[in-house]
Amino acid sequence: MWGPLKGPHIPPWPNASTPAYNGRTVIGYFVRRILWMIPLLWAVATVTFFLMHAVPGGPFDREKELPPAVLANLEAKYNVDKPLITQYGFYLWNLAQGDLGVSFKTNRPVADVIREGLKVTAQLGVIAFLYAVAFGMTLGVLSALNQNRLPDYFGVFFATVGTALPNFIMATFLVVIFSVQLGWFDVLGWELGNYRKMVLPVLALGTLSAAYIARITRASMLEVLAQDYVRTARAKGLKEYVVVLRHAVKNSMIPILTVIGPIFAFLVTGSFIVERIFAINGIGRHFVQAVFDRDYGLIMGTTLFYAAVVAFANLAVDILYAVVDPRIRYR
Amino acid sequence: MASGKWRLPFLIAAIALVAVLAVSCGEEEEEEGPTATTAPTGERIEGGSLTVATLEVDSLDPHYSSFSQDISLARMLWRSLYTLDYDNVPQPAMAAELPEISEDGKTYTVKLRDGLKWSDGDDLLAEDFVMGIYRTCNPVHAGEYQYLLTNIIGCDDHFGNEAGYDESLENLIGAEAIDDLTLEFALNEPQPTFPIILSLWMAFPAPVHLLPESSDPWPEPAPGAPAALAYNGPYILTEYQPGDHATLEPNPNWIGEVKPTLDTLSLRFIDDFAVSNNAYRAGEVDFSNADEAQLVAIVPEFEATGEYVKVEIPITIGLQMQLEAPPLDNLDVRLALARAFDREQLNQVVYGGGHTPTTSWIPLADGGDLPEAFEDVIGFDVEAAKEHLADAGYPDGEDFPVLSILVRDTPTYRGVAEFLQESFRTALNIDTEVEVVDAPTRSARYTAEDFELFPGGWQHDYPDPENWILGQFETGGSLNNYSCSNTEIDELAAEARFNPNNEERLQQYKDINRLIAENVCGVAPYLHFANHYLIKPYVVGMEENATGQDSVMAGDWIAEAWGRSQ
Repeated sequence: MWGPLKGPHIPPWPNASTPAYNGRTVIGYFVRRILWMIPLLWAVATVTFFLMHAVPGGPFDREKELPPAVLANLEAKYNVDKPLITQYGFYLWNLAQGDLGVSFKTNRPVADVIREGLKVTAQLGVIAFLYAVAFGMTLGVLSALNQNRLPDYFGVFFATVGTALPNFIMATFLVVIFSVQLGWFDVLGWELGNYRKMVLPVLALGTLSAAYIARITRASMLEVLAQDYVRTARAKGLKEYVVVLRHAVKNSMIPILTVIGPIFAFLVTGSFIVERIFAINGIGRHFVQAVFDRDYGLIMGTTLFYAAVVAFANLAVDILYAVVDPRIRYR
Repeated sequence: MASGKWRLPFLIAAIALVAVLAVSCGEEEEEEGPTATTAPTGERIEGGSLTVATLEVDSLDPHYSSFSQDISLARMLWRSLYTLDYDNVPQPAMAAELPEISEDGKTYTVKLRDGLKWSDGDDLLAEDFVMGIYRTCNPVHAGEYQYLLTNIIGCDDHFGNEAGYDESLENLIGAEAIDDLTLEFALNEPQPTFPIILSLWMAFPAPVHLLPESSDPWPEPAPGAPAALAYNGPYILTEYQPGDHATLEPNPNWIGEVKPTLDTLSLRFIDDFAVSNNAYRAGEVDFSNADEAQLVAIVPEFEATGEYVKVEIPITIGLQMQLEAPPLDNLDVRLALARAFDREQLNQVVYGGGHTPTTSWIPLADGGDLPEAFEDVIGFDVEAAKEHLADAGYPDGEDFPVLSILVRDTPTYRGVAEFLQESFRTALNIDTEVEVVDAPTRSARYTAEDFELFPGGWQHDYPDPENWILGQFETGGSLNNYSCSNTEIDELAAEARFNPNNEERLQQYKDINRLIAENVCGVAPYLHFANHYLIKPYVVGMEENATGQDSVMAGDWIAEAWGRSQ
């Protein structure tokens, strides 16, 4: 998730000999990145496929052993009795036609499972993301502007506790205090528009990211606020909010954007822990449960889906770099 | 960077926070384990709804299903020719009466009741029950409980056909609709337990008017499933949201004596019992399985109000030993290990006292023996254990090899392994190593007989001692992964299986039960499991039967009796 990003090219400050920024260049870059995703996803599929089969245990291993005839029929039903390379070929052929296969556990199309879970997970993930960015950046900016004063100490405290406290601990505390004891919110489920079912899952899922964003924002802002051009802006008599918003925040965005992409991918693809604690039917739990179940079909589908989301999220971040910093160009 | 004057207050605040957390986690007082209790009782009112927390089903197909939660739901939606009553005796359900059995015991004739209908109004006929049998015997579906129909002529031949579905083989299966209201089953051998088999989910009818061929796929657990199926049980499925909930309503064409009174029954799928317990406390569900890891807190919280219910279920867990791995091939070694650990203490320490210590493999309710029946043979006795080990040639554990204990990666199983490890070290002065693996790896190694010591057990498929023995303890049995091989057991098992004299048959299985203990033939039993439920006081009818059938919900064998008292 936090893997190295392909660095944008940052040329020296524009001068008369620098080529002018061109929209077609961005489109070309975008198309090239999309095409590169094909071999990327193929590599992910291949590594996952063979790694999955190398792990001990299979999809039909049970606490109570299955009779041999049942096992033989199950393996035939899902083509697991074929040689590995044949199974790999079947999988790639189906994948090329857009078929992600079926879950070995429920026999349901993987695409259906992902689609159903994604709707809920995406809603929760996007709202948690918006909370993390809005709250985290606000806290980070306020901390930086009030360095070594009370707001800064609160911000640092929140950032430290937020990143140190595992989200399953936080989620459990939230449920016990606010649902069971106080009855302010529900324990179970997610429903868009119903605050009783939204508040706690969003807090549990988004707080870690909010804390991380707060730290990055604070650090980046402090660096930018120490720059000469900020002192110049103040000396020119600009209002403080103009200095902060138009100069400081904008120029501190690059490091923040770098982490926001992976954070978005992480939140939108769901959290096994949060979905389990709130019994939310999202896609996050499928990622982990599929591995425990050795549900080969679902493992492949969810892994590929996740890889695609991360790839697109990183691409979006790279595009945003160019929007935020006009010095950045792509060719 | 915080200035110096703020560092001390921050440090104090941090210490205070940790202290609060530590205190609120609290000390767990050791309490005695929970005792068996009964479900709330009362008069049902008409109407109302219940929300029941349960595990999500993998399949809606009763001819394929194997997990308890799948079977629980299937029993609410369909019923077979017979159903097991409180004492697990087959009683007519869709059948008009008990079957007519031929003199040689190999032909069963069953007459249906008049006027049976599916929930959609179509007639429920003999051909629907035959189709249910055909589906279970069809290799295409790979039904995990097909082996229970193995004695029906032709079922194994079709199911084991490597080429898959074969209409000619299917037509040879010994299940036939003589007319619309009469079925006939032809068996390979007389089978006294056959009426029990006809009560189980693999013999549920299949709606021929919706699924005319036995290879037709049963609708998956998806939003479209309810409308694509017909039901003959007390409830119909009106809504299915994968991973979230299922909604049931009374079947207007249900023919049973006990009628549902609820307007709706909602099954809320929750994987984690700790989560469903919180939902129970918050009033979002009316029933939940109690989280065993928190029994020490749950019992005092709910026992006084009668909301906590403990029910013994047909699961026995024991320390399984691979008899082909020396020195476990030595009976004295096996007896030493079996007698070296305190079952009661294991129950208290690892399971919070939630189950029943036992030395009997077959539970009493299933035709076995009392838990303490073999206390003098394999019960906890350190001196006797040391003596056995010395007799085996390892006085005081000298030169005893390090055996491995293979367990699943869960806190409970780790606890069991560590308890056994410490017990063996203390009582016998021998070392063991604990191998922790995930569930599929553990199952794979178990199936491959690649283990030495293995905490594991058995849950009955049907309430008869036969199910505790067949395949598990005969030499070369398909489920005999611990290599038990005893001539006496083999002879008794062969005799009992087709013995038409029920009293004699049951005694034979008791004798096998004794031989298993005396020879530690693959397993030293240590616990009979129990289910622990939380049931709101206004819920009535959630009563387990005598053996606690395959259950994830209390009383799901007679869910039509569930209701509310207010």
